[in-house]
Amino acid sequence: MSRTALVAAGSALVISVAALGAAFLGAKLGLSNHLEEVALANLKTSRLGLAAQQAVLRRQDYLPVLGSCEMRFKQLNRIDNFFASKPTGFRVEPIGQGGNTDLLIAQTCAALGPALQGKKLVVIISPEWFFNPRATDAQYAGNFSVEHALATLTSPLLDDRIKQRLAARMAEYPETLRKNSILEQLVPAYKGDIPNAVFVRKAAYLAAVCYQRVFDISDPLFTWLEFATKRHPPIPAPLTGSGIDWRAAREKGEHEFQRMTEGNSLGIRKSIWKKLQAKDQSRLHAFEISSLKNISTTVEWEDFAILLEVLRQLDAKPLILAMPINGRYFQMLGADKQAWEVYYSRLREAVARCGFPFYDFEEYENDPRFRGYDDLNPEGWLCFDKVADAFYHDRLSEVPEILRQAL
Amino acid sequence: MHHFLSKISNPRLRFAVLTVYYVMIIGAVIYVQLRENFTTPAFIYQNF
Repeated sequence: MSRTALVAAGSALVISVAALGAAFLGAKLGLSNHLEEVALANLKTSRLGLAAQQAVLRRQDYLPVLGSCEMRFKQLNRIDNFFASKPTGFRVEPIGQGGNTDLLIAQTCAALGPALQGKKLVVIISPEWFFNPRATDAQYAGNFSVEHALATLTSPLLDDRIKQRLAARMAEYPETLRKNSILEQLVPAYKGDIPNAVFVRKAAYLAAVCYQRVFDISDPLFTWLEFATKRHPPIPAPLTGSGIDWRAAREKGEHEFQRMTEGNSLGIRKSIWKKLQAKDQSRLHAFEISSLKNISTTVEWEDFAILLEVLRQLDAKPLILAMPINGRYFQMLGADKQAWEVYYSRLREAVARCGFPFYDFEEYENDPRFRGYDDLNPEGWLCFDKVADAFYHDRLSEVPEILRQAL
Repeated sequence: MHHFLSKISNPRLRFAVLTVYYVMIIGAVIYVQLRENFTTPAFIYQNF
């Protein structure tokens, strides 16, 4: 290599590092200046990263809500929209998209670690998570974060037992582990499946801790890149102290319900309703009924138990809200309540062991205004909003009365 | 690249082009490495 080429390579290296440093500082500044918009945007990069979520958790006026596809369907009463103008003093940070499940939420929470200590958050559970023998590969891979997985297995706040349980489940999705060679070593080492597991675990642990520094750079950079290149709706001005006109919200919700379902008796949004009707009905029937049979045996129960244990060990203050099953829909298919009541009983049992506040809204399972095919309808969101508001303001004791008035 | 550089007679211009070329390579490597965590296969929710 000629001297010119060497000097050019050296100069290029210096320029690249300087440019990276400038981009990183710019991204950090941009994120801190636009944190409110970022918090409400439910960006893929902020879901898969930690920087934005940790920054939001440092604020007292945000309540993180972790869920799945219901966090993406557009609705006026959806919890993040509903509290966007801070009508009672807080906003909601939505975290979730279709395919997110207990195991992935557990990893997100574990990775957030100390940022969650003593913090309130809401986790929304979907019954559909329990309809498969386990979360599918596509579902898991579509929401998997290497950063979260590494931070989970190196968390100083979690004990080895829970890390082993997490590693055992992570190992069932080998495609995702192949994304990162450190993770590929760390997961089997935690499971104890390889010779010299203790040594490998320590070496991989050290490598993972060092590698976290790479994420410290990439995380704000890519979050800012996604935020800056997308259009976001303006954030409503804060109306703190104005309170909520629940009656008006209910009326608007009813109007939206009629528009989105066109009055079908099961409360299913029209696009999904049309797809369901176009299906071969006998195959659809067989598929749905067999899904119910998985509820009692699915590995999702282990993932749910892991999630609860992670939250307990982190000393977080979660509110667990479970969406009810659309009872009318399954009754129409010929199933009876016995086929799915285990969903409620096992959820209650599992949460009771941890003592977290929990609501499953079972009494609304036949109400089409509450739940559609796989998401919440406006009345359902309104109930969730009421409970979340009571939770944020430490008034959970009033929830039974609030819900009695709800519908 | 070597062929292209040999056509540039001005040494300063040759140096500048080479530097930009290396910056692009280093930038691409850094970008691909840092992007690792944010690439996930698209998941389309379809429950039936």
